[in-house]
Amino acid sequence: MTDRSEPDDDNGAIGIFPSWPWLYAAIIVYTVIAIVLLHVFTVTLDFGPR
Amino acid sequence: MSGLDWAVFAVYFGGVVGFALWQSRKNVGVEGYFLANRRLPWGAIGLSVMATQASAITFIGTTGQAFDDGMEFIQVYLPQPLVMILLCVVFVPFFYRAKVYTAYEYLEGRFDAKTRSLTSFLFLVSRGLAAGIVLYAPAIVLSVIMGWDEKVTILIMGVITIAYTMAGGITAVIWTDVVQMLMMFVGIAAALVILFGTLPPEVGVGDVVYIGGIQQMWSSIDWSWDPTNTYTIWSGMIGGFFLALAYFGTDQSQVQRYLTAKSLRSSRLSLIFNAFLKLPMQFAILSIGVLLFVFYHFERPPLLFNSAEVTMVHESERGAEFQRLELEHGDVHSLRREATLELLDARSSGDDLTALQQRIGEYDGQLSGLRSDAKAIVSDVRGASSNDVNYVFPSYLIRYVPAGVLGLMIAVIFAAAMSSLDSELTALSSATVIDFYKRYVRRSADEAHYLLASRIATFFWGLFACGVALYAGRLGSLLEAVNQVGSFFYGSLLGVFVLAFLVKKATGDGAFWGLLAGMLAVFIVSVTTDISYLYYNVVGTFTVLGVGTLFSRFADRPEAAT
Repeated sequence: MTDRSEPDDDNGAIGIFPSWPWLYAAIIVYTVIAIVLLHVFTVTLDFGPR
Repeated sequence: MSGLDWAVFAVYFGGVVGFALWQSRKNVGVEGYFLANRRLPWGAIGLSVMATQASAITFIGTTGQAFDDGMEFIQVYLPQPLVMILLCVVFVPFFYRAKVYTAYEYLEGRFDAKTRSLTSFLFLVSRGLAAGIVLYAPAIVLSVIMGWDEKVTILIMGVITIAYTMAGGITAVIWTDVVQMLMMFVGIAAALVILFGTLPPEVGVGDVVYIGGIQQMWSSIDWSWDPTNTYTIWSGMIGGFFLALAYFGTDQSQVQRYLTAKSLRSSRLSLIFNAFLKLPMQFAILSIGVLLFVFYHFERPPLLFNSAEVTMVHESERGAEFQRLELEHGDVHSLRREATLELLDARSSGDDLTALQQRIGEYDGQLSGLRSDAKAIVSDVRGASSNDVNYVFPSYLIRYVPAGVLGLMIAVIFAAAMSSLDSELTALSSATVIDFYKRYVRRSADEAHYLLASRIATFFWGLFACGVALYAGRLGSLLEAVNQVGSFFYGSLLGVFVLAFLVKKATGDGAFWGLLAGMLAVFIVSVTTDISYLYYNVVGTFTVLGVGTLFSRFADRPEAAT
């Protein structure tokens, strides 16, 4: 078993993202947006009898 | 099915298996068979990760669930993108750099042999039985809907899957998963298009959204704190988080996928791919269920979609009662259809809709109540709960989908089942050979010997899955128990891995006894409380962490005594 770091994995751009932390931050934002959108869905698309 | 449907079906399966075997020609030795010599591209692995998670029941059961309860099930999937981050940062580097074949192999290096063997054994028991259910569940649905013999359906799926998995190993599995996942995307898109196409021509997208909204079918987020409510944002974000972390981080059927990547970066990218695609896919699948709900405002649905259950109830002493419900259901449906058409007219002419909304809402409630009463009768007659949700979508397919497309959709259901089964077979055989055979029976032998053992293990687990599937009907409530028992393991297994990664002073005995304590704690919580099963994973994980840490610190310190 080895536990050495692999620099080529940890550095460099990942597509449009400058580094892994940026990509992870984008995923967090994506999740928050998904929750907000679904909440908006829940509230605005409720046409039940009041 | 027509001749065209069968042709689509045959071309699809012939193409998939041929393509997979061609891709696996470069495999070398046991590492090639189980890990594709660590050379697969991240896109293929990412699709395979998705295909493994999406079984046939995900495709047909989730649509039925949305037909009954709307979009609320999506809350379970909301934490999945966040789980992928944690996997990329913590789990994947540990597994990838350790150069292991199985997740449990890592635990022997970190703890000891007994912790590795116990976790691997728990995986083999729960996954082995689950593999049978993966085959049985769609087979029984297709047998009722299509009139096929369920044994023939099980054997077709089982034999094809065993054959290409034995021949091509993980490479064949991942490349068939790629095609099968793409087929599922096509199938989901086709289902949405066909559903819109079979609605009355005067019904537009806005009308569909509106009609679904009258019964709150688009309601996706429930902010209530009640822990006994199965699907809330909290059970999803907390319980669903731990469930997904346990599944993707400790289940060999998923860990094995990202160990086939050519680099750590590729492993991570395959999971990131999943982080972005899973939610939209699940949203689309659930939307099919809501569209079915709207569709059946215009077409008369059966009271229950499982014709086998309906026949059973008709022939029982409660048959007359059930028939009364069917008649009442037909009457209320006619009234709702009339009111819905009036509502569409009123919407186009700008009239006040309040009274019509209320009428439709009341009819929706009555129809839902009648369906619940009918399911209760089925449960009483069968002696087990009704599984009608699994029949809603296939029943629609057989009645309303045109020739050719039906063959495609049935192929997609087969594909979903087989793409989960093949992953489970490679995972089960790798755990059997690497964690037990090579560890305890033959510690040193040549590559050819272990490769043969791996193929035999794949064959054995394939036969086992087919056997469980063929006899599953006779297992009755035991089958449900098997499903529930799986949720006892997951949180505790996750606890062991978190202990390994994050608690430096944790010992093998601490992990072992922590794992047993975790499963015991989940069992006690499940029988003494009504909390959502999603929280079991949280209980299991924290119990293992707590007991494992304390045991390691106070009870497992031989040097302290000297």
